[in-house]
Amino acid sequence: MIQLVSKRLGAMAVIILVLTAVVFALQKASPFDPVHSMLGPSASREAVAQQRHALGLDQPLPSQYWHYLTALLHADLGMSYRTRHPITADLATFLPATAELALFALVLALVLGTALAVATTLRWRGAGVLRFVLVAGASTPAFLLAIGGILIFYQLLGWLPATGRTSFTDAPTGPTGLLTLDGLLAGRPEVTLDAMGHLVLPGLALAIGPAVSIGRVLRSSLVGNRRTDYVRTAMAKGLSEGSVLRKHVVRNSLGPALSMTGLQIGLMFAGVLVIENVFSWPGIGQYTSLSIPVGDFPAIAGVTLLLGAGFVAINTIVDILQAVADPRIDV
Amino acid sequence: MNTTPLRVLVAVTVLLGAAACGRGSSAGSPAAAPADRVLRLGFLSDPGQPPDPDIFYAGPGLILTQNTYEGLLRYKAGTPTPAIEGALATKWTASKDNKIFTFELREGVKFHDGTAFTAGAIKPSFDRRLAVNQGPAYMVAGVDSVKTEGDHKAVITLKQSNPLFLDYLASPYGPKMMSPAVLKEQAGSDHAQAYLSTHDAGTGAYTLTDARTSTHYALKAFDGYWGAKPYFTTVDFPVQTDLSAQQLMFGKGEMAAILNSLNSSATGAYLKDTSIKTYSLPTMQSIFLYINPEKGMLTTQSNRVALRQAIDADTIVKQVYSGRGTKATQGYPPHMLPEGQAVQNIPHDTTALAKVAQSLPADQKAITIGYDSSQADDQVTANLISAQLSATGLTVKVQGYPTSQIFGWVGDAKDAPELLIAGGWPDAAPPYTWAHISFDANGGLNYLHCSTDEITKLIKDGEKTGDAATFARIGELSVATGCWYNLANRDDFMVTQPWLRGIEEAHVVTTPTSLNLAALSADTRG
Repeated sequence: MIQLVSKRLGAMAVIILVLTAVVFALQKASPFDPVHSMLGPSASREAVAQQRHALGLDQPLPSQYWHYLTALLHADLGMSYRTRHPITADLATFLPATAELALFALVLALVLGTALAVATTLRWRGAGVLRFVLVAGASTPAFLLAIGGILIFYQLLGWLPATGRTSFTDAPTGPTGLLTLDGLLAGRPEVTLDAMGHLVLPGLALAIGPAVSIGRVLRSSLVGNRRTDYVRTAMAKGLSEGSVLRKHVVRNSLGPALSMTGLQIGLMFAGVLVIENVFSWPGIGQYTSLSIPVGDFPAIAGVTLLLGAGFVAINTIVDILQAVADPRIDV
Repeated sequence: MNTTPLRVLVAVTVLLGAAACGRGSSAGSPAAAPADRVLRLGFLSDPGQPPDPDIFYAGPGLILTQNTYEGLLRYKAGTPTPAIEGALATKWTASKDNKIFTFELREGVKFHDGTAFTAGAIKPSFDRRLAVNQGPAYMVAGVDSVKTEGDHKAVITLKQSNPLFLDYLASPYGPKMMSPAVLKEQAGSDHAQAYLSTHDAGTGAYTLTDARTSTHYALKAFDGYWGAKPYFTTVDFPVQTDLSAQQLMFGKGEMAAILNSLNSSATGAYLKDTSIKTYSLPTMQSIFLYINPEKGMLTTQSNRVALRQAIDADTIVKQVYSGRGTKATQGYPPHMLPEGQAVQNIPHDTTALAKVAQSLPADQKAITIGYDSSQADDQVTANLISAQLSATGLTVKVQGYPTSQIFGWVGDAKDAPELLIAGGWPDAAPPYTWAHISFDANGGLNYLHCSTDEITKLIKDGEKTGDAATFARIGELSVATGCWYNLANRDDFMVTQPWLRGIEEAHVVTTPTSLNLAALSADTRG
């Protein structure tokens, strides 16, 4: 286990190094002028040059890259040209919203995926309906699903809010940044309930695709394992189907589903960019999409590094979980 | 029978219902004014820069800086053409050479921190603007000294004469008065930039109470305001990123108004809707077509003129700006020069361009029309022009570019497209403020590097004199280059709930997308 974590930390360092190099190369190759964009059209050439110097953008690229890396060692990702805040502060502001949404979507995806897999494996009544709904949802582009959800559940039925994280202007802003949790910690369950209401539509829009992928992999694994000798033996011993499924089949079928979950989490973060924009969700997806048009490279680089590191961390966790589920797997 | 999946669906439905019940309801019905006197507006996308008047240099966020801060002067609200009036100054005089300006200041004005506004606040405010040194800093760069005569009189002396100085003071991006106490206490190492990104230090009718980037902004009426007490006690600005969602919320009465960013299809629908109110308010915004003089056949002035003639501006205005804009008739944005000056008269005629296109070798027939990818209207305009030019035999491609890439062409236009659609407005009313950024070779909005020596010389002359005839001549010369085509004068198109009053009186021609919130009220009879 320690060896795995060490290996993955090493891989994370290499990935971050490569990502920073790629982002810097892209910055150099791109025709963007973030400084002029930052100062506005009436800024004189002198003012633009002065600001460029202040930001160190007139230095040779290797020198800029070196400064970036040395600052990175001190957890300094630079300053956003757009918000004028340190990137670390911006990420700390926007990450909890994305994390809460992604976590909610992940739980939904796991619940729906497992329900789909188990229901179709055991041929429960209604499984066909569930499969049709989920597959149809997964076949629809996420943005369309999001807009459709808003039209039905906000516009027509009035059940759910259309945008944002909360309806309360005085919602607690800490300590975790997760509104569902902060509402409870502040003794305001109405904030938590309201936050959950805001999570439902974007969470579903994000979760349905991964749910079907996870469900399909889990189902094929379940079906395969149900046909094995040890299951037949257990059934012959008189164990109930549910007991065999719970105690033997599910545990042995989790490996592929966990691998797929790891992959889907990565894809989910990519989908967040679109979903956060449709639902005005103030997370890092929205932060990135607002940073790109103005060429805010420190912000883009900060998000890229965060997601890269996050992806490695999540896959490490998945590997560990796989080993826990199936001791035959050597991590 | 195992009914687990159905139970899951039922549980999800119950969860949706429970969540709906738990929503912090704040919406009223579309026809009813809010009893709590909270005005619910919104931003489509974040303002993009902190609500600090020494930094903010963009569009929609002006509503924050304009309602929390005041300068010595301002442009009058509710007038179709720009006119200066006193804000924190009640009287002012300028020396004949426009070098010495004397101001008598309003008494009984308080900053939001409770300290009194006096003449002593002017110099720290100017100094801070220079120290922060962002886009609008140039407006006070020419100040040599600020001397006070008692608490309510100040004399500002410039290093050299400047006929534009009063307009700079009145500009929405002009210097605002900031509490010297706050500037000192919160100075830190960044001249209070961090503090003023979430607080304010002004004297305006409202004070900033919330500024969470990409999430929510809020203003609260300032009890100690020297002017009339605002009707709305709080103004909320949740940040939306999707226009459709914003329109749905407006339709359900959860927003009192949409003040900007409505595209042509939304505008058309609202103009037919009698249950709401629509306003098309005069601004100084124009939509320009920039023609690249360094590309292919467009290096020839006669070809640029031929291309411009092939564009049917009437059709573009009708299809894109119907009900919220008019065809431009001058080389400048509207209201900068009197009608009849800097005239742009371009009759629609495709004959000349068709002849040019016919004579071109195949590899020179291709042109690209660029537009700012964040501007939906510009894309529609580019598509229409593409269709019009294609009919003459050219091969036309339309492509969107991010704002920062377009700004990148100001320094190096070799990768710029042949044509570019871009809108804009000047910092202040005098024509110099547009001429020097657009027509000067080094201008910040001269994206495709077109100018002439004569234009550059006249701009320098005009800066010193402010002479309208000089700027009219500059306009004529710029039209003659064939590098610019002012397609449309764009209004501020706003939609409001029927109960919201005072929109026209709250709108300032020089300040796009914004309103003086203190001038708004609600009709509670409905």
